[in-house]
Amino acid sequence: MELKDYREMPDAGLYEKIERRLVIRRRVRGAVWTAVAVVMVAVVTIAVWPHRHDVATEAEADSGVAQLRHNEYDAAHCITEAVTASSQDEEPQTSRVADRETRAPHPAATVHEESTAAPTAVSTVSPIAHATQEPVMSHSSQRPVAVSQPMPKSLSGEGENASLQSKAEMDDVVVVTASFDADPVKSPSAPSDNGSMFWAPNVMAPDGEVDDNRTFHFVFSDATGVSDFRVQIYNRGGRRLYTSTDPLFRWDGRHHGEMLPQGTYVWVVQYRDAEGHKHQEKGTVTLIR
Amino acid sequence: MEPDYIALVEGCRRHDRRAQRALYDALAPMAMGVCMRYAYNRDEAQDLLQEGFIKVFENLRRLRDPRKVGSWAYRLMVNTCINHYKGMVKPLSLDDLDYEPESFPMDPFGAEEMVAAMQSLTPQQRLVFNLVQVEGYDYDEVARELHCAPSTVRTLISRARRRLKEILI
Repeated sequence: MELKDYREMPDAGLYEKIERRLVIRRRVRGAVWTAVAVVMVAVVTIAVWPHRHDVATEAEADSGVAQLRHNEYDAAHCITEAVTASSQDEEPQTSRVADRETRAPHPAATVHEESTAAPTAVSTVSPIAHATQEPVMSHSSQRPVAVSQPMPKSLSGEGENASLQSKAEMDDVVVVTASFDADPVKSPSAPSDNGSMFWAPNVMAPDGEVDDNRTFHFVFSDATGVSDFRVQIYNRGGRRLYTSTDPLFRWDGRHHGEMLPQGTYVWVVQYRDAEGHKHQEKGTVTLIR
Repeated sequence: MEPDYIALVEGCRRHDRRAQRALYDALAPMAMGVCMRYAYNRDEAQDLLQEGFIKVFENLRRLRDPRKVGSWAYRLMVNTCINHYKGMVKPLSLDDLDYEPESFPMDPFGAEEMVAAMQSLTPQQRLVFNLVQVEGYDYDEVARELHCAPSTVRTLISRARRRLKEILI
């Protein structure tokens, strides 16, 4: 007989053993796959969770909103109107307010420092594209009373109401609402096609070790095309602490030589770009001691 | 009469318990016969049988032609036995070079007798004897399968033949 055809009966009950093992193996395989899936989901969640807001930020930037948000503008930042209103008469006021302002980078001064092209180790730098195509306020003939400007409806006070009637009487204190935008100005990704672009840090550390962060300054992609530049820096109470007409200014966080406390400060800038278009931007910078 | 393998395989693929049982019943005697040849006793053979059948059931989906399930399962059983024992095949000393070239005379002996006698061989001898004498591989094929030298195969087979002759004759 061919040994290959040799047959033999296995014991009874052997099949039941086989069947039981098959069932167990199938269940183990299923559990393993489930565990693998759970682990992968957990890994992805843990990796993505810290950055979940970044997605929203990018989405906003990508939407290409190349304009100041109106809610931000009218509701919270009446400082803009007041500031630009006050800026009209800044020149005449020079002598009066000189003793209360830091003039370290004198507006008429020439470039004193070369601003570095790339901000180093500033914790966050927000590029500000020039959004406005037309001036928020025309500077030419307007009186600070701002006839054409409606008073922002959210004008509420941390200080007394600025009457805006006569700049001559008006103090530096202007009214601002409490709700400064705590976030850096959201930057649309598309720069406008008519002008220079600059980066403004939103943190400064005068006592820190990184030289670039010890002063607040703008980083222009091309500062030579900028003209009619004026930057003003206010504290949250609306007190103007610093002003400069030099695009390459650097603010050391002092007011009349006095070191200012840690906190959030507002900057407002107007300028004209290489094509002559006027821009106005604002933002906040947090001073850290 | 041969069972309807196509229906049985189809049922097993759907995890139909009755089809599974029926397929086992159809293939078990053949499978047990294989395992009895390679193992040294009945218990060992039934362990091998379980291993082999688990492989059969879990790999049924890979079978292209359900009608060939019989020979496919046979192949699987033999492979299970080979894998179980091939680790034991180690290079042998070269003293034992007097091997007998002629094949073993299997015909006179009944299958049960042969299987019983084979169970007194060493596992390596039995494995090689099965592969050469029963499955029909030549020495080179066996050497490749077992990852050993053909001389080892020759030596083992000659020892197996000699031993079987002692027992049976």
